[in-house]
Amino acid sequence: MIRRLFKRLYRCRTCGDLHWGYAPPKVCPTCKVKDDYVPVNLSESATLLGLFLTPPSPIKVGGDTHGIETTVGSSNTALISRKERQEMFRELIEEFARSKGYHLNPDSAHLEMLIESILDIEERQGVKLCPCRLGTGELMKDLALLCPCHFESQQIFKDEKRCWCGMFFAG
Amino acid sequence: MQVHLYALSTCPYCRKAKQFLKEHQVDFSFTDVDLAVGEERKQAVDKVLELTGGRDFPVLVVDGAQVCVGYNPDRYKEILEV
Repeated sequence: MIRRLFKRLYRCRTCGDLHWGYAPPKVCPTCKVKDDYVPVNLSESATLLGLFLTPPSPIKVGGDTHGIETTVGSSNTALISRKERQEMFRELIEEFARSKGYHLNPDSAHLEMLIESILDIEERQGVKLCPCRLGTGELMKDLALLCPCHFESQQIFKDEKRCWCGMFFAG
Repeated sequence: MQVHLYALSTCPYCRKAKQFLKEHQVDFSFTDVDLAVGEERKQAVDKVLELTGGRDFPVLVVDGAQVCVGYNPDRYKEILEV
């Protein structure tokens, strides 16, 4: 595990718990799953923290995710350039894949489209949601769609050893 | 044979599903659910939920009955008989 010199936000992929610190807990205090925290990019952190700091009513919206009707969260992406966010996200998914023994999709066009789509969604929603599944529009309900999601529990991983959108492959 | 594809414009497998249908010269219609607005969007989401019980894409529907969730060329060939 890399211990960083600055604090950052970490998210438990299994239950969505958030941790602010130099390094993530080895074991999630809520779901007790080991080694399943992933770092959260700076652009996404404020939205996720805001989710837990603000009352439920302003977060609930009428539309579902992906859409122009939706106003879930508040995007902080304007503070960081698209290129920087792209580099940060690529670093995050590469680090995650390495730590779990997975690899990224070798189809570079597929992978590129996923990354660009997820960044587009982050600009609209403030968080990186799966581009191949449609959220409800309520961020609290859609935490399971944050990338990287807990795809090991999905049937597609059992059948094809990959996540639903095809970003991560096992083996 | 009536073929309809429910897709997301952000999803690479949805793009591959459209490509498959074009390459096999299947006459099909599609809805990019994330780009749909208002009533069209609501109807599409409701239909996908009714057919699949989930919100995963792509969803291929043949004659309103046979449903394939996810991009699966072998299954597509089987149900489309191509």
